Amino acid sequence: MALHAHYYDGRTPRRQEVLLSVAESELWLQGEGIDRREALASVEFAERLGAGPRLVRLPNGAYCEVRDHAAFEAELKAAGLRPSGIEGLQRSWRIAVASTLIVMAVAVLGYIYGLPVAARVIAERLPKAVDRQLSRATLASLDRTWLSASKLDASRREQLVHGYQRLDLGGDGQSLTLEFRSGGALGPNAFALPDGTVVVFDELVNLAKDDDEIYAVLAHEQGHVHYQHGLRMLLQGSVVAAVMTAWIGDVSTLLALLPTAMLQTRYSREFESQADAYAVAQLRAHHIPPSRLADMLERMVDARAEKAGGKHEDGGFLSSHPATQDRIRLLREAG
Amino acid sequence: MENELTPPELRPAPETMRFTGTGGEYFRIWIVNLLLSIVTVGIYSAWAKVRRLQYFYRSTELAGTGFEYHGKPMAILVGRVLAVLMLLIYKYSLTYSPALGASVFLLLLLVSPWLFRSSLRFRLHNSSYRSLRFGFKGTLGGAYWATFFGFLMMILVGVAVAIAFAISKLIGTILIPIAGLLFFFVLYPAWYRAIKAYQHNGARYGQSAFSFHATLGQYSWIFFLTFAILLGIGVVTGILAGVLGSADLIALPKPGEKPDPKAFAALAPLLGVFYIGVFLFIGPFFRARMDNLIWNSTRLGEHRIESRLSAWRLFGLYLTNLIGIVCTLGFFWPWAMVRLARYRAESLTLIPAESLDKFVASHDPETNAIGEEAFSVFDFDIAL
Repeated sequence: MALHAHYYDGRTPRRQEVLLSVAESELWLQGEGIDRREALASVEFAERLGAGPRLVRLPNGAYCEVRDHAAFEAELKAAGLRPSGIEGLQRSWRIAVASTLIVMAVAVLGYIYGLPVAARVIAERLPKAVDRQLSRATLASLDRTWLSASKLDASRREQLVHGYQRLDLGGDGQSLTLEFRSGGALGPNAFALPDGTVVVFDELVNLAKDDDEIYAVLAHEQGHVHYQHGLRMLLQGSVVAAVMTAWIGDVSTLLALLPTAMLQTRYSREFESQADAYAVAQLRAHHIPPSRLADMLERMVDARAEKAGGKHEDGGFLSSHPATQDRIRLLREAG
Repeated sequence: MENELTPPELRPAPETMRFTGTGGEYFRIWIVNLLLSIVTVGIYSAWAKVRRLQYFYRSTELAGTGFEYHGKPMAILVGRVLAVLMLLIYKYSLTYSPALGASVFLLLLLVSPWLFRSSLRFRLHNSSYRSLRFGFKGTLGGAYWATFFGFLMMILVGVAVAIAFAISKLIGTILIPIAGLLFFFVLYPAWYRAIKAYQHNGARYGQSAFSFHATLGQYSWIFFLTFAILLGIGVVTGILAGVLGSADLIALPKPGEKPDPKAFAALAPLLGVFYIGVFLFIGPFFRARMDNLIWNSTRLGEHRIESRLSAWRLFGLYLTNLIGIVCTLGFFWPWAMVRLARYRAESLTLIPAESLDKFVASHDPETNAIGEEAFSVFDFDIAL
């Protein structure tokens, strides 16, 4: 059964009415002054996409435009030509709904389970040179921007380094390299770099009531190093950012930032509690009550709230931050 | 210039473009291809891209016939792999050493006009209407001239101001506003125009050439209007903040005082107004004006094109699309794209000077997809 189609000869944009039929492994076009037969092997049937016209590509740039989809499919079927599998999938609402659910499931499961596992596996296998290069570059850039040289006495610094080494928190004789810096506007803090360097701020040392509180913070940082949190965070963060930008960045780059930040918070909370758990175990083994870490955390929160000018009762952002309060509570429960 | 061969009364009637696609239709195509792209770790995305372009091309009709896209997925995949490689080399060299990163960036910058031209060639050679292919005949020299000349001029002005400053502070201070005006209302629009002129003057349909006739004055005027609106939104937001501030509804930080976070939180809705104003209105305004200018100044042979985008309608579309996308966590995307394509098509009209059947085909070798893919990965969004 022949059907109506528009024929374009590839040399002019003239539209010509033709009757199209498929028979005996040949495509046959008939119209005013047109009688063209082409072997099916040399013809390309473009797949059907929505209700728009469908193309039959002929050799030397000519093509037919078909709009009667039902008749055309019947014609192809009669000639033994089946549509590709994907063509059907793209038309079904049921498949579309199922695909939507699968895409969502992949995203949620990938975020909760897949990405953390992948980041851990990759972090474990990355050569140590990468850690070192990354840590050095990070510290160098921080030194240029936020940090300045430590104002602590050399003897005080040495005392802390020796005390910390003697303590041997990990129990394997491998202590971290300590770097002292003045944090300035950043307030009392300490952070670990992927290669096992811990940067301790003067403000933290001055804020601590005794050295055990500093060692408690170092135990926590050692937890981050032990589990390679720095590298894993970096890997997870870049994947989340890349996916969010690809997903919604076309609409607005600014809009993509908010969910990215929100999604990364969850990861960082997990890492904090894991590092806390590590610190609790190590501190206990060395007869330092884990509550000393809680004491120090509380003092850091207070110092920060004071600095932000927030009144103490309503506590500013950080102290009322449920995550920090939860951490302090858990550490107290640990003794 | 009027065509002398076909008297006006015999010319064909104007043809307005139509978009026949629907959001539901495109959603079903999009989601299946998205899933396949995820499952194949991105490899399938080249096939997905071909489908997307084919869907939008075929659904865009002029005088009862759709456009067609002929790009091959394999060519796009190769281009994509190379583009990702380039991006990785750049990122890696940047973390390894800033100096190396900078030289890689410079190298990429130097090849970018070539990539730009390749992408135009690939896209146009793979587009057809009524079995006649589009094409691109712009020269490589033209690409370098269009992209680098304006850029160099802008740098030159910056250097001139710096030198003036070094000679005398007074002269430098006087020169800054002049250089600013020159930059925003002459040099930048001229650069913008040069790139568009390169694109449109180089484009072909069959053997017929497109030509571009917009003047620098017309470009400058749009930049000036956009700037004026930006200024207006800034002033309105400022007055609002002032009024609310004096009524003690919000506490603005006084100079030298630490800002109170709570008072800052009250500023959020104001910033929201500013955001909507700047990002959601300035964009559509500029795009509507610019697209209208570009298409109204473009001819295909003696055929004219008319574009009638309205900034307000585009603003409404952007805003509702944004709300839809946010509320559905991104799944509204296909509908958003279809709504934009429909409005875009319906505001474009071809005003023929003679019968459309008189075009003649030209045959050119195919071009590679690397340029186009590099552009979409590096996000040098030069085309409007």
